[in-house]
This record gives sequence, C-alpha cells and structure tokens, in this order.
Amino acid sequence: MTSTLTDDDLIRLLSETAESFPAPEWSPDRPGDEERVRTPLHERPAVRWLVAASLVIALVSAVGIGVDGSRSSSDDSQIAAGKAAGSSVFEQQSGRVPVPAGATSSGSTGTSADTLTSASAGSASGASGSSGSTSGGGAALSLGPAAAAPAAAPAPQAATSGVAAPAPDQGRIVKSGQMVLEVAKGDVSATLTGVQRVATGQGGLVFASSTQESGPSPTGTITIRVPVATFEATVVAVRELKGVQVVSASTKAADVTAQYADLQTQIRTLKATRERYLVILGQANTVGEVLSVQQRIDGVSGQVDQLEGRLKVLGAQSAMSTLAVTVTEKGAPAAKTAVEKGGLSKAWDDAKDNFTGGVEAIVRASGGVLIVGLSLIALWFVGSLGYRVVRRRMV
Amino acid sequence: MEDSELEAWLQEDYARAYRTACLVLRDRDEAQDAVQEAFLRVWRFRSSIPSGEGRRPWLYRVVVNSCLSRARAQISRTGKNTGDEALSRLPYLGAGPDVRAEQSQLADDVLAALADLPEHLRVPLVLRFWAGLSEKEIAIAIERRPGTVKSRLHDARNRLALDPRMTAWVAPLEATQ
Repeated sequence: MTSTLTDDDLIRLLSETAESFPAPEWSPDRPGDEERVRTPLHERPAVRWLVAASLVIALVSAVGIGVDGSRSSSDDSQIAAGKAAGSSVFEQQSGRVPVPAGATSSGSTGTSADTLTSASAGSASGASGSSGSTSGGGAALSLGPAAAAPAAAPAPQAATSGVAAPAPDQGRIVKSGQMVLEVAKGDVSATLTGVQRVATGQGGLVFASSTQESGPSPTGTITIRVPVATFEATVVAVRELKGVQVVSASTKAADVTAQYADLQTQIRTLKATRERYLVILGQANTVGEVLSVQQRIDGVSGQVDQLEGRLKVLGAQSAMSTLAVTVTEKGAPAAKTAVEKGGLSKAWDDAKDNFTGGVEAIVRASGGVLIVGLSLIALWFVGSLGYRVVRRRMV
Repeated sequence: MEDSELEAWLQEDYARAYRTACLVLRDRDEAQDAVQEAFLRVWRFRSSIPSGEGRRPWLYRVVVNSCLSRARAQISRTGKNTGDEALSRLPYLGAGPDVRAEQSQLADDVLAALADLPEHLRVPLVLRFWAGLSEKEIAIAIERRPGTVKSRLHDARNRLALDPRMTAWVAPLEATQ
C-alpha cells in the first residue's frame, strides 16, 4: 500500500500543528510592546558598526602618533645634541619697533642701513656658517654665544653667488621665517621690489609673489629663498628697507645634520649590499636563484632610490632657507599671519594629522590591498544598509 | 479605515498570523516578537494599508518580512536557524495525556519536516495550507509572480510527500487489485 499527501492532508496536518501554539491577544495599547520591538543597544548593528569604526580610527591614529613620535624624537635628539654642541634654535618676535640706526656691535638685534651693504659684502667674501661673518666691520645677526656651525671652505655651488653653501659634512640647518611689514600709502609694490632685490643680492631668488593693488587695503606677499648662510642677513636687510615698519617677525631653525648623515650612511650601506647581491647574482646557476637574488636587488635599489630622494629634499631644504614677507599699507586692516593654533583647535589639527599619518603608514606598508579591501567593505555595508531601508519602506 | 475597525480586523487576524509565524520560524518566542513587530508597524503605518482584497496579503507580507528578518538576524547572530532548538519547547494542549502525546508527536514531525524545507518553499506552503491565501495573494505577500508561487508550492508538496514524517500521519491508499 502506498500513501500520498493530498491538499486536505496538508491543511489538516498544518492546522493541528499550528493550533498547538496558544495565541496571545493583541492590542495596540498593549504595554511593553515598544520595549519588545526595541533591540538592546549593544545588539543594534548600527551601534556595533559605530564602535568598530571608533576602534579603527583610534588604532590608526595611534599608528600615526607612533610614526610621528619616532620621527620627532630623532629630530628632538638631534636638536638637543646640536644645542649641547653650541648650535642654537632661535625664534624672535618683535613689535612695532623701528630698527635702531647705527647698531654695529655683534649680538645686536639689528644693523643700520650702512651695515647692510657690508654684511652683504662680508657674505660675499666667502665665509660660510650661519654665525655670519665679521669682516668688513659689519655685524650680521648673532645667533648666540656659540656659533651654529664652524666656518669651513665654501662649497663649489656658491661660487657664482659669492655665498658659501654648507659643505657635505657640515651642519645642516633648515631655516624659515615670516615677516609682516607696514609701509606708507602707495609703497607696497616698491617694497616688494626692494625685498626682491635683497633676495637676489643675497644670492637667492623669488619663490612666489602676489599683490592685490585694488581695493581699500592693497597688500602684497612675496616668498624668497636665500642660501641658509645668509638668512639672518636677509632678515636684517628686509628690516632695513626704506620706509618699512616691522609689524611682526618670526624665524625658526631646525638642525637636521644627524638626519642627513644618517640618510647618507643608510644609502652607503644599501649600495654596498646591492654590490654584494650583484656578485651573488653572477654566481647564480638556476633560474630560481637568479630570480630570488634579482628580487632582493630590486628591493634594495628601491630603498636606495627612496632614501636618495629624501636626502635630496633635505639637502635642498637645508641649502636654501625660506622667508615669507607680507606688506600692507599703514591704516589698512592688519594682514592675517599664520597664527599658531592652540588649545582645542590645535588638538583637533593634531588628531587629524595623526590619523592621516597613520593611514599613510598603513597604506604604505600594505600597498593597494588595504585600500581595495576597505572600499569593498564600505560598498557592501552601504549596499546592505540601503537594502534594509528599501525593504522596510516596502512595508 | 477607522481605527476601531482596523483594531478589530487586526485582532481577528492576530492569532492566525501568530501561528503562521510559528510554522515559519518554528519558535514561539521569535514568532511572537516577529508578529508583534509586524502588527506595530501595520498600526503605525495604517494610513498606507490598501483597501479591499489587497488588505490581507499586504498584512501577511508585513508578517512574512518580519519573520524573515528575524530568521536572518538569528542566523547572523548564532549561525543557527530559528527553531532548531525550539522543537522541544512547544506547549501542547489537548483533551487528555494520550491525545496530548499524539498531538505532540504530530507537531514534532510536521515541524521537523517543515524545518527541512528551504525557506522559499516553506513560506508559500504555510501561507497556502494554513493561512488560506490564494496563489495570487501569496504572490503579493512574498513579492513574486504567481507562476513562481505555483512552482514553489508544487516543489514543496512533492518534497513533503516523500517525507516519511509527514506520510506517517496520512491514511494509506488502498491498493488496487
């Protein structure tokens, strides 16, 4: 005998099964319904995703802080070593104080117009080092009790400008500065031209320049780059321009000598390693051996290229210093200078920098795999969220 | 539709919807939560309830969606289907202990057989043979074409017809001589 399942059988069996479940009553005012429907906070997917995202951001920022910390601690140690050796990192701010005329002694904060020429001449005599020369009777800006770098023979590239550049094994200082000047009505362009002449006179060049001559408050900005040895003299020379009143001036210097030397050492070591690999390559017999050694050579070559690039950048930064000058007319609203942020604003900027630094470090380490993976995850998340929203709306 | 009329309609259909959810999810607590959520949603969005014959399949669409969301959430949380551990928790009502035992066994077998059906076959089967929806109404409820519903019902019936747990409760055909 066989049996088969008819529709009536199905109806009967499902009915008997379903009716074994006692059905509760329903009312729209039933207390506790909202609570029944509400999912516990920790079980909600959105909350879980938020917590996960926060953890990821914190982790990436921590990586960024770690990367930044390792870089700055090596900088700090170099600067501390430099300070101990007598080099100085200086900053100065000044108010609306006209430069005193006739100041000639070393250690003074300014020089007269007469000494501008002699300072330039002194520089042109070939002395190097950021302490400035004392020949010709003029005094360049003194950096402090001890010279920043010992005087040395001028480097070859300084021959045309008459200014010595740091020799390869000498101290390397990255210097930069900002100045805001006030001039009489109609003198903005002339002052900018004066700054340009100072730059070329010091063996430097104009990096960028812009003016806004129409409107109630004409302003102009000019960024010049001069050999690092003549930075202080350039600052003095700009102060000494005719009809100029200094609203604010700030300068900064960082000693990157150890960093530079470290890069050179790393490059030498890597090149020696590459040479050894090349010798081994000549001894390789099988295709597998050749490929393995070639892979290592490629890796080392890549590192050498990277480090040489960094060395070049550091060299350029320490060879030529940067001075940004803003010129405004008297009576016009004060030009906005780059103000150092503090408090919460700085903390926010630091947090952003740390996070992006961390992301860069991770991406660099993992290559494109991480970017592709994260993009796919983000797409999947957006897609599933959208699907749920659409499904709910279809109710 | 007036609120009082709607409330009466929902109360009338609540038990059937709840039992539908029990058959789909095979878990009383999950079914209760799913149907509560569905009915709350229906109550909140009562202005969008269609009128006439479309009302019932629309209600079951909400209930089915709520059940499926719960089932998928359960799987993603625990990796298990709802009802896998719930079969033993069914309360059984009956006249006497023998009847209750028999009912219990029947329910166990039917639920076990339903558990072996994939979701896309189980849902139309329950809506057809328990909730009493027509194929056209089932198509509205599960958002598929009527042809798809017919095909799925046919598949589900064939599978259950081969399941000894179901056929054990069916009277055998007399052999023809």
